[in-house]
Amino acid sequence: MDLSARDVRWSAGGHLIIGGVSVEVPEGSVTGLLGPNGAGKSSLLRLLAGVASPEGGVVLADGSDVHRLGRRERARQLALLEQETHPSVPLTVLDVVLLGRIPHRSGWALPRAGEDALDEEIARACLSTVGLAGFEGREFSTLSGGERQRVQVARALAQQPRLLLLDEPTNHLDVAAQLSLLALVRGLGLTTVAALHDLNLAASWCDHVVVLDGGLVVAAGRPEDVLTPELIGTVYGVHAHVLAHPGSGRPLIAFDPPAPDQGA
Amino acid sequence: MRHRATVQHAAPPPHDSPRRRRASRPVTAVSAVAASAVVVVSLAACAASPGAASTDPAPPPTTEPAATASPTAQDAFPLTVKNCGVEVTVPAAPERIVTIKSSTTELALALGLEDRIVAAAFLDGPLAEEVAAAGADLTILSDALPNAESVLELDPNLVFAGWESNLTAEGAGERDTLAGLGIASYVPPAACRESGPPPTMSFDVLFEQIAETGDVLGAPERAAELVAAQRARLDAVVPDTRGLTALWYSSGSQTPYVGAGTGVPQMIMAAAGLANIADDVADSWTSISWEEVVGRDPDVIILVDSDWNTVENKVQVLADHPATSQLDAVRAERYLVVPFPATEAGVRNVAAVESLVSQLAELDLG
Amino acid sequence: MWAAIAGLLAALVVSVVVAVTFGPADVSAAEAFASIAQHVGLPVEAPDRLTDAIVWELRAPRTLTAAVVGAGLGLAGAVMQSLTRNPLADPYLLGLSSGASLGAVAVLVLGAAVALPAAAFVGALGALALSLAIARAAGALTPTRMVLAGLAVSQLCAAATSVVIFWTATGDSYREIVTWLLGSVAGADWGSVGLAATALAVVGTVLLASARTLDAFAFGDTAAASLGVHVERTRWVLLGAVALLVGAMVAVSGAIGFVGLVLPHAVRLVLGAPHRRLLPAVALVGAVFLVWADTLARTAFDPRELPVGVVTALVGVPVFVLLLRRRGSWT
Repeated sequence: MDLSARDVRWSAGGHLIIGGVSVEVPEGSVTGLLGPNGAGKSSLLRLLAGVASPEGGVVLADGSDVHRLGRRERARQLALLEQETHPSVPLTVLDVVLLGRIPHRSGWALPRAGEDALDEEIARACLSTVGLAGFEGREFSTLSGGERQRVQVARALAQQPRLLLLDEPTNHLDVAAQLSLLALVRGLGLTTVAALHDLNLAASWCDHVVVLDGGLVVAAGRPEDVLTPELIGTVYGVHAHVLAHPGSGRPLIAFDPPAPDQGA
Repeated sequence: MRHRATVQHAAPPPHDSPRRRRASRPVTAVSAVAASAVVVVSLAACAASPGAASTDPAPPPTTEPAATASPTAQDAFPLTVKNCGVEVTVPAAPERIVTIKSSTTELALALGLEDRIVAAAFLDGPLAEEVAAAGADLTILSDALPNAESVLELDPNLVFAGWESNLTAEGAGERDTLAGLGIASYVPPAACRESGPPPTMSFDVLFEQIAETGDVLGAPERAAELVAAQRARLDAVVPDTRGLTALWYSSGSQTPYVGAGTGVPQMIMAAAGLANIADDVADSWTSISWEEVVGRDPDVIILVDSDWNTVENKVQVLADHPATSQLDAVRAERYLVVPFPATEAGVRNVAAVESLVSQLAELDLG
Repeated sequence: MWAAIAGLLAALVVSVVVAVTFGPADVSAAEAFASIAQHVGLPVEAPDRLTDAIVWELRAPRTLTAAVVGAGLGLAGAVMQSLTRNPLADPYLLGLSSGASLGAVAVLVLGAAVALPAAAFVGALGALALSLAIARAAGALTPTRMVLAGLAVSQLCAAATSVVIFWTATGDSYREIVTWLLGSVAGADWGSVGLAATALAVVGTVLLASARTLDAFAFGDTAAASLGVHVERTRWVLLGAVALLVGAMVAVSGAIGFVGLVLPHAVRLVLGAPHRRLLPAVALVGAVFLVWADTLARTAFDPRELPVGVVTALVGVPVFVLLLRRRGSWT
């Protein structure tokens, strides 16, 4: 599934958060959404996922307007994973993954025979995919950060979506967990859009990056084309050198410490 | 792929920081209601007769009556009395008395002290016939519980309050505050609840308490006369001999509040020759279930008449209730009426006995 | 899981049947059953008129009302906790019980010429409307806003209730309202059973059917929306349903506390949080619990009677403390 946004605008509380953004996400690609805090990454993700409605412009998935789809239909096509949230009630890992099946079952009707068994089968399969087979009965809140993220990915997979939207999935994770999560997501082969704050992760992992600043797209393209010292300096306000990773050849960004007169 | 190459340096718009979607303030509406219930329940606890007090009677409050009444009332003063657990000192016969509630007002009037009552407040109904004339010119301070300032404005020597709970900061004033201002306070001993339910009432106890009141208010001779007159009337009463059982129904529709085994209702019923179906509860009044009432099947029902809960209302409750409507007493309307002020210890209790006996005489139980 | 539900259902039936044989009056179990059997149409000889009245007009409706109210409060509490994402939410959160108290006080103390249940119901819904209006005025209906608006309205109604009692209550007229505030099924008759059971049947069905939708709220509004749930509409509908249910319960029995707050947690501990299991289980557990709490309330201090709200608090508080200690991980 491909995704494109055409001139999307959105405000909240009287402020223009997204001011006319156009983005193209080709099918099967992994796209990184970059930008400093306040750039509008999370808001854009929600607009792309159809959870928030734009004031202007349109979001198209495979050519159809995402906001014209029924809610459940949309949830069966697009899965959104927010930044880490805690459940308000104690849930087992399997319970969490089964939430992903909700779009496939009507929320208001009573269950039909065989649905439960099918749901459980799918949920277990998704857990396997993320490498957490055997964790079904564990309590969600007792897992490590990395494990919880993977359970969330399993939940998203249980929706059987064609597009995955992730909001800062590697926050709160240690290096090993970050790398393994990203490798896992790449391995799924789904069209993926992820908001990331770590430029090096984006450079090594994404096919395609979109840089936002102040609610507008500042640059978009392949990491090696977009992530130049000039752009990084302008958008992030830091000095950086772009090298080539010895192994993969992908961009490797090295930051200079701030100049003495810029204050501690 | 299109993109805007121009870069904006404007201040970044507000960022939707990741919201934790948890309401972190624990709150319950139950706590709010419970808080107000606690306020009201503590009011109830201070009043003469809460429903769920302990069933063990406390030792009687000690009263040390003054020296035997001497011909000159003034010689008896200064007087010290233990009243509801508080030491009360009265330096001289009080000339300026404030009475709160009917029981105390009527008693003071019956002791001939109408000229010394500067004001009465929070009465429970019209004054008893016997004292109505004496009380015709009484200043009524307020229909509700007066506040401390309005009481203090009257410059009283003594506040004679019907319930302990009248003497609080929101009411007529805390007892020790009043004492600090040289104002004595006195509560009829039968209404003392500071150490649990009061001891068993009887007419002897009532007359002793009237005598003590006479001492405190500086009218011992009148008190003695009053007691003698009341005793004579009581002795003249011929109690009903049919061995009837009775329910003393005071208030409540879901859960009736009834006269129990040790208070004024029991005292009155016994003197009238009635057996109280709730006399096994060691309290002056108690909450009981309708099931208990129906199970014990009283022969007659005594209804307490008050402005806030009339006889008509109680009759309606009894007739409408699917279980009590089956009682013989309800179907045959074997009701006796007692006015609310007569149900508290005071000058109306003997009259209540007389009234019940004559009402019983008119009841046909055939 | 179905075994647990079936077991609870059996426990409920047994509890109701046994509870009817308990009571202060001297009625044997045989007489109790005879009375019921005879009313139900079986060819059994009825006991005497008074015993029959005690069993059929007092104990039976009271026990059934306790069961229905317990179920309703359990359901409402569980749903409120999920909708507001607040483990300390209870059925009365949005001012429902304080509003009902104000309605009851209007009748009991001010003497409004309206049936008490009707006044309580209207009061409950009025307070709810005010809470939602306040919450909505600040923007979209979020859990935090609902909780805070409900708190404000509860305090307002509680204050108004206290003022009315303090100001106008003469003699011992406060006694009735205090009993009512503590919650009691003592006044239950077959009318109460009808009202409460109808509300439970109608609203309960709606709530049970929305079990999956409620699950979706576990990770917040955005997550629910991304799972295809119409968050705002669902919240309004479910809140409205809960309000109707709780309004009916409060109208019939006053504000009985702790059932809706503590039992959902207890059931979650054993059966887990997913609503398909939680809702039917908490309804049944609530029913059994309140039947026994009421039985205790009316027999423990024979012949005196405690308001059942006192019993539920006495049992509920230690249970709640235990739960908080065991499940600290998610609070």
